[in-house]
Amino acid sequence: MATFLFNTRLTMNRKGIIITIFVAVFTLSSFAQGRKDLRFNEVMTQNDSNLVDQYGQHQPWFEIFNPTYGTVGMEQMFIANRRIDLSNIGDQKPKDFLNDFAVKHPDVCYEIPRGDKDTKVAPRSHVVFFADGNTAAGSLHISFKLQAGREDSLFLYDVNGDLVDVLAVPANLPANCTYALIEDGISCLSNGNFAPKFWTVRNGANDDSAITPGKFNKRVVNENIEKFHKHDSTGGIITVTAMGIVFSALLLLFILFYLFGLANKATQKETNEMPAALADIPATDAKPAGDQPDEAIAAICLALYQHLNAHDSESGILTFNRDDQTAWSSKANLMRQLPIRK
Amino acid sequence: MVLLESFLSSNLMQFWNFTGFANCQWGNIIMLCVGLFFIYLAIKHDFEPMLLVPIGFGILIGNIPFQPGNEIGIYEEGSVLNILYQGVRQGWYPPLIFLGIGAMTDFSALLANPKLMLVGAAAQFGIFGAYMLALALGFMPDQAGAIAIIGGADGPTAIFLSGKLAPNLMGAIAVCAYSYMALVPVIQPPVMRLLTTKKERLIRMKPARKVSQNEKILFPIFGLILTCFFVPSGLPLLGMLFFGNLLRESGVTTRLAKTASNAMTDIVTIILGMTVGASTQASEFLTKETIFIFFLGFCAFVVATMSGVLFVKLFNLILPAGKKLNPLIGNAGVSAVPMAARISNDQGFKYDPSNYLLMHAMGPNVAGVIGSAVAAGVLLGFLG
Repeated sequence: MATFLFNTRLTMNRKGIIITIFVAVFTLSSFAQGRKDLRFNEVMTQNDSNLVDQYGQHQPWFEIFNPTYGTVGMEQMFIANRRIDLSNIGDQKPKDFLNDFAVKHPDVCYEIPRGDKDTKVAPRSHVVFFADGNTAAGSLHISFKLQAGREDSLFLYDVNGDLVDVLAVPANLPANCTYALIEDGISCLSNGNFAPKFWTVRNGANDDSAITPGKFNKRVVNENIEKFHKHDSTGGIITVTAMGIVFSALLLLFILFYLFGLANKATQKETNEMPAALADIPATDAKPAGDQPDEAIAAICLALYQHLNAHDSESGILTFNRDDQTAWSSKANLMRQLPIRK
Repeated sequence: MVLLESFLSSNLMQFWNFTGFANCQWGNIIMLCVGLFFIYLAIKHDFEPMLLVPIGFGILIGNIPFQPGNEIGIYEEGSVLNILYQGVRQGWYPPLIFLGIGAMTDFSALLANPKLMLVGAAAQFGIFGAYMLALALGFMPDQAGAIAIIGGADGPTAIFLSGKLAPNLMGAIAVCAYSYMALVPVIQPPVMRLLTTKKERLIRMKPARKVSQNEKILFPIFGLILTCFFVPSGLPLLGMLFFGNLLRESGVTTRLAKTASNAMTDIVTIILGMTVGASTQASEFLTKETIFIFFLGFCAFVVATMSGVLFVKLFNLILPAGKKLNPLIGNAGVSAVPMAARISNDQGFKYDPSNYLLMHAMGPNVAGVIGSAVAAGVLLGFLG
């Protein structure tokens, strides 16, 4: 009985461990990259002559960047123009609270609707929202306005109420100028607060201060290629470095398996020396199975071995193991239909 | 009657404009001849038929002239060929092929004599020699890296890397890599003879020791961890290679190993070969760059063979008298498995009909597979 309980507990423990590992793996992978990486990237509060929406209107706009390498769906996320206090919501779930809040206060909070492909942001891409207070114009038109001449803020909340990003727009942002991240996707949250040191005002006067709705703020260049093109025009450095890496990797493997080989040799000498010739095989008293001669049994064994292409522990040796499994322990036996008494 | 004639003639004219005859250009004719030549080489001379037949026929498919716009061509979005081609463009097929290679490769020859791994590493100099040459010819570093990988003599690796670094050159690089792999019996022997003396070619190597099952199981596990910690960018190829090998050696997943090494590899090879062939549309393929790529590919194979053979000779200087290596196995450091190892054996036979080098050459040969995948990872890490 005690053994049974112990075994049951062991099985339960094993199950628990497996479930824990699965949960941990899935949880970690879900947190790896996604909505929490979305970033405010650029904003324009007074748009007189810049970007137009699909109706040809100039509206204040802001841009969100997906810095991950996977598509991120923004549906059911919340954009607000002030910090929403979620600490005193009682038993209500943050999602439900934000939901209700967005319905009651559309001038403060906007819930990104479901089912619009425009709100799915492709990897390393941008999405532009128009802050015109006209949600009837589409999912990318939010329910409140950004106004020029006043200090405005934008807060991006995940579906479960976690704060994803914050942007504080300066009041003195000139017309047709944007407030933009120096480099796309940099995290500028410092203890949940906006850190303005990564932001700059752009007026579109030159390439460095270009206004780039839906585009990268900083021109994307493959710095590696530029670097090698400039500093290693003959390819000598990369050749020496790369060959060094290839050699190091294979040298390590060589050392490791050289040591394994030594250990294996020692073990083989002790336990598994091959007989030098058939004559060296000690005679045994074991009788041949049934009436079959030894040669026939050897031929059958060889044919079986060739047919099954079975791997043995050593080449040249064929081992037959007794099958100790019973109907209680063998899966094959359990799955076989039992004979039916008629 | 006149109306009917006019109707018929306009329809026939329209039909004529859709036919291949009306859209044919010299480039198409040249490429069709190239495709036919590949098929001829494969069927008549048995040059890598598993690869050259699908590629050759793919070239025929890709160069049938047609009027664009009907979702027919491989570069037209939504066409069947385009969908199959995504596996090449996005790099899905090469890791699957590597899974199969892992499941069919027996690394015992390498494990029995692990120092042969270094020969596999040395032969990768062909890749970087070609890289320097490509830079000298005016290619940008990313293009040079993609072209240079031809020196690894490994088709899937070449496709994988060129798809990442220089997708526009991928068709030419893939065809070049596979063509030279088929031509290994022509390219390597003169280089091997040139760099070795008769005395060296007669060196007999000791039979390899027996390799335990534990070693075979540990190799893919430690191989993955060690190589990928060095070069994480090689993970798609190395991960699948070692995974396939573990399926084979674990002894408990024989069915999976069989599927990976037979049915799955065959399916992927068919689709990969055909789509790579079809991607060589004359307009994309017949360019000055292609000629350079074929020249550089040839140089890469020669340099890889030279560096493998010379490394063995160098290595012999520090090895004791009874443990010297036959330099004829140096060519096998390129990863054209098992063709390069067979060439070592054939060349050895010519000078001593009782000197069997095949299993000795398989060591550097399979090490070359790992080495070229690591080299590809390094290039991707530096230039990607």
